[in-house]
Amino acid sequence: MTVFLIQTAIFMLMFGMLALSYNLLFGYRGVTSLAHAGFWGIGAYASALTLTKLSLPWPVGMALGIVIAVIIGAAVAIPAARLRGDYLLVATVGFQVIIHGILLNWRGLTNGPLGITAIPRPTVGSIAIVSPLNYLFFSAVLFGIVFILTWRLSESPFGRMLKAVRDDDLAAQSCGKNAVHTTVLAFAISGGIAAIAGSFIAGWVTYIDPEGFVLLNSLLVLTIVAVGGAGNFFGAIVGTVVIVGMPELLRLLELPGGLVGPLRQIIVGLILVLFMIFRPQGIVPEHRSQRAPAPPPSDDRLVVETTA
Amino acid sequence: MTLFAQLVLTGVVTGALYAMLGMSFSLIYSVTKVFHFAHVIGYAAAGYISMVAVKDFGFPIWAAAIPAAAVAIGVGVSSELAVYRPMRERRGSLKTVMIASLGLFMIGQNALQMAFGPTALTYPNSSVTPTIIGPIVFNQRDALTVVIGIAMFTAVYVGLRSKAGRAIRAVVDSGSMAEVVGIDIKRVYLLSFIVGSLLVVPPAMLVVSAEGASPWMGFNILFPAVAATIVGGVGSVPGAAIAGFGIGLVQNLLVMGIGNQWQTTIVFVVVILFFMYRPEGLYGRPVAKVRV
Repeated sequence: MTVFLIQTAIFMLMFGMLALSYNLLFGYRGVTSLAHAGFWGIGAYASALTLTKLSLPWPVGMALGIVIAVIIGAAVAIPAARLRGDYLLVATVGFQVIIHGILLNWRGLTNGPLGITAIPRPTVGSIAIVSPLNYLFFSAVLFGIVFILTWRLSESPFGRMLKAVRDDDLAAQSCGKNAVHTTVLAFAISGGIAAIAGSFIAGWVTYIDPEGFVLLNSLLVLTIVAVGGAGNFFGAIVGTVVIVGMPELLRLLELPGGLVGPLRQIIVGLILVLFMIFRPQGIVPEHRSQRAPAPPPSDDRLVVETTA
Repeated sequence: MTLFAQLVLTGVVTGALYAMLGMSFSLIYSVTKVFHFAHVIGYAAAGYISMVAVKDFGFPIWAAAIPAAAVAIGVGVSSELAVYRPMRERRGSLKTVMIASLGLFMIGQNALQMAFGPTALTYPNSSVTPTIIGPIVFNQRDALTVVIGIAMFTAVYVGLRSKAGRAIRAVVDSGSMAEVVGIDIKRVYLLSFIVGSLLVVPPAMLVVSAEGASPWMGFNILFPAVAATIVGGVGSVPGAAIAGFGIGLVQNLLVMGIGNQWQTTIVFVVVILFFMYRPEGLYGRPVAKVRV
């Protein structure tokens, strides 16, 4: 039972990191991306491969994962910054499937569908973090770093610029802000932080394969933030507790093994649909200035043409 | 040369399937502006139900289309009535509608897996004898796919010129103008969900007879259908058919140069390029652009 609780707590901290990073992109910048599990997977594979193939220390693997995810995030953002609404969503589904396809088909590097086994646990100094309780402390520290980082970012002028571009990119640009740069940065930063969560999960489960980083997981992260409250910093955390924590109660029902996974996702999907109908702003909505009326959604324009 | 001819043939058959799915998705999207991800759940459910009807209830194949159509329409109509319409009435933004449809997709995908298990199931006795002309191999099912594809294209083309079809086109042009001239827009929305869902039944049954029904069959066809809709031009249902056909052909012909495991990646790249440089698609009207 204690092991089960620790395991749940570790998963919640991990999804918390993903949700915090995704909130920057989805809540603050207003981009509905379904590629987040791809960045998570890049982090997991980069650190797993540096550990198993190059035998380099764990922090190097994580750093490499972050760098690769930041670069790919920026590369994804360059076409994405020109698109909006449905088109942008479809493009990110495309990127998600391409990343998954590379993990699956580049067998020489990623070992294809068999995945990577026997990933060593991370070490701090000379101590390997093996026991679940130690790993819980370790994940709490990592979560704390991500928490402070995203908190500082979202409260900074950069965080306000993200919201400004989301609400009215034309007005933001007329104030001299570069909307395309802001979007590229949002993708790169949130991808980089997702990679931290990725190298973290690789160290915890010690086995990864491409099926862990599929579209449904991107959808799960989207659900966490949308239900918690997009654009509110604490929305990501509330959402994690509700969406990751609550279905754990299913385990108490002792259902046959094959049913738990699908049933959990049905419940998550149902929560998402109900929230979108009855409370689209989420559990803890974003604070909006009382003086200014809510801006009209700028989703109707599908494409922005930029002349540099 | 033989390889080329064979790939053209496979491309035409794949293209016909994409065209049918593309037309159905495009109809719903062009009319309602709902990005109906759960559309492919209706498609997968239709495939499963037709298989169950044949296998467990001894329906002849053609009769299995009836329960399959009922289920597909059920998925479409219930999504519209239970989710999309209430959201419209509560003035939900297009973005929240899109996220809700992702939720529906998630529910449907897992419900299918719970009901039918994760492995693919096939019709009994669904093997077909291949016909060999010279070096090229094809079978009756391939021929049937192309014939049904052309028939469906013709039916949609003619149907859009009927009275109901004119109402649909009016709503595609401008929903508010259509309402001004007395078109019941709610009924047109519902009609587009009914007709759009009905159109997935033939491709679903063809795919199930070839590859079996699996919970992933919907996801596998999602991107080609969406791609056909956008490349063809939002608002142009025949355009989606032509684009779907073209995508199937290009996808197969590119196999000659690049390995076939990269097929999906190629389609994605083509679509993303279209998004960026020709967002109105082949036959659509210009989308609102902002020059900054």
